[in-house]
Amino acid sequence: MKKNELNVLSVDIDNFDLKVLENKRIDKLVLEFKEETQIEKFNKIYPELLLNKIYPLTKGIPFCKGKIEHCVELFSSTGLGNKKKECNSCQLKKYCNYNLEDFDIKSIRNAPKDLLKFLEERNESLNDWI
Amino acid sequence: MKVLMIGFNVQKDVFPLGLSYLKSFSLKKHADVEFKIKEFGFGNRFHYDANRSIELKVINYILLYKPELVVFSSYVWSGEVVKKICRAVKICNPKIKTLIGGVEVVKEDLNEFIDYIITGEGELAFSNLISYLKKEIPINKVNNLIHSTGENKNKNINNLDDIPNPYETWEGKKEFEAVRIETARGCNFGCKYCHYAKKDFREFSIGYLKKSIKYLFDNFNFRNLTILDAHFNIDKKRMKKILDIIESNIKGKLRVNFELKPELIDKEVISVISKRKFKISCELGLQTIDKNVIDACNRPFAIEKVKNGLKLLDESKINYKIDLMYGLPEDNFYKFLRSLNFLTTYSSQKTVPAHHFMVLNNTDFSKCVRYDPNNSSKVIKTDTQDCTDFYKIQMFLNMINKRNI
Repeated sequence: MKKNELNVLSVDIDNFDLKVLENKRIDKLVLEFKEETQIEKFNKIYPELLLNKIYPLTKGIPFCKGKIEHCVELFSSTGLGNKKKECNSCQLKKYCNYNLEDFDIKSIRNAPKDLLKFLEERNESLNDWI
Repeated sequence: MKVLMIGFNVQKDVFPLGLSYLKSFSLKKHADVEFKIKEFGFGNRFHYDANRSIELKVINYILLYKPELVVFSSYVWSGEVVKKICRAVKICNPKIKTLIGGVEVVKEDLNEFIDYIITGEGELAFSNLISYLKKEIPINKVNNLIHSTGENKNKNINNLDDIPNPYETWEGKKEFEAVRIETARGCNFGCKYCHYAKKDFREFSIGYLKKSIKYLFDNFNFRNLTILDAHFNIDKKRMKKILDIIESNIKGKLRVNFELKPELIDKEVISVISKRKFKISCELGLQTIDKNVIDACNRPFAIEKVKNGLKLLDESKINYKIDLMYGLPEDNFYKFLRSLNFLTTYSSQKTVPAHHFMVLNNTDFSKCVRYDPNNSSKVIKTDTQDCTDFYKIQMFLNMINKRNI
């Protein structure tokens, strides 16, 4: 890695070990998820990540199942994936890119109004954030 | 009579303006009094070796100097330590009278170790307190004073030009990294988190500033000049006059720092600050764009004017910094994202600085719980967030700001 280069680590949650933070500078961490059972591991390491000055981003967790503010989809692509029928009445379905089978999906009907406002306002510049 | 005036600084090598105002004003009436200003940095505050701990160093300096009165200028960063030092001084030498003043003091600070507290503006009160100690007036004639037998009425100087130029009465070294000139006091706006909002707005006259600035440049060496004025660009003609005075006196390389109200930046402001012989560094406080948060802070705000101001600054290539604040009442993570989105959309600033809201003493934010209930400190809980939310926002922001490394 060059001195001024952003060091991004994008890795399956099952392959992530906290020890990597001890000897490697991580500027951006994206943890990838395929099934709901993996969320438990994320919740366990979450305080350690924050104390290591990492704001973890999660990829693949539907908005209804995780911490929305950590979902990478909140800041980037919109409306990806085939939605389940359970998503039909979800207020966030056009932003969530859920298209896997291994999560127990529920429609979000009472999303925080400030989140909705943020999603309405976000524009192309947001893609530069993450 | 010997009066020792102690200040603590967090920035290195900055002229002690506040204490120098007290000295210059008091000398008008009390030329017979020996006023000594001593500034200390906070570098080794917690060192275990006695000779390297700044607190023990200050206590010992006071005890060895043996003043009749020791005065402390109490700011956000020094409020707590000043009270501890007063206690130590009083225990070791009860004859030394102790006085604290500054934005951080509250009347509850008064105790057996602190004899006097000056609240609000200090010049008039300090000079009158010296008169009282010289037995020239009774204590109830000392305005802005809290003491063991009562609390006196507040009164400020009507005409700021009555304060002699503090640089002229300075007896120490003449080289500083940074100096400041106050061009106005108070603020017409009433933002609840700010100290300025409480004072009457008054200005030093252009004639006074012309003389003071000339004296400053003729007698001092410095590389940074900060203009203290809560809304420097509210009166564009006055702003131009002040910058013209600085430009006509400039002798070498100089950076001039000041705050601008983003809503009040127009083409005329840009033309006033552009093409100067000195470098310009402007600070703008945006804090948030959310209406509920703005209303909770009683802050005036006009989003379209801010957009226009940022556009003009970017086009003119003027160096500026615009900040956000997190932890204000009514705020939350998504509102913060909206403010961040606003800045990354409408400003060319590469990174976005954001400050964890600090509830200051003497400001009206009872809904916010702060870390230290007795001193100005960072908020740990509001009606909508707690300290974990604030920590996460800072971590998120660190990540966003790294995209430009």
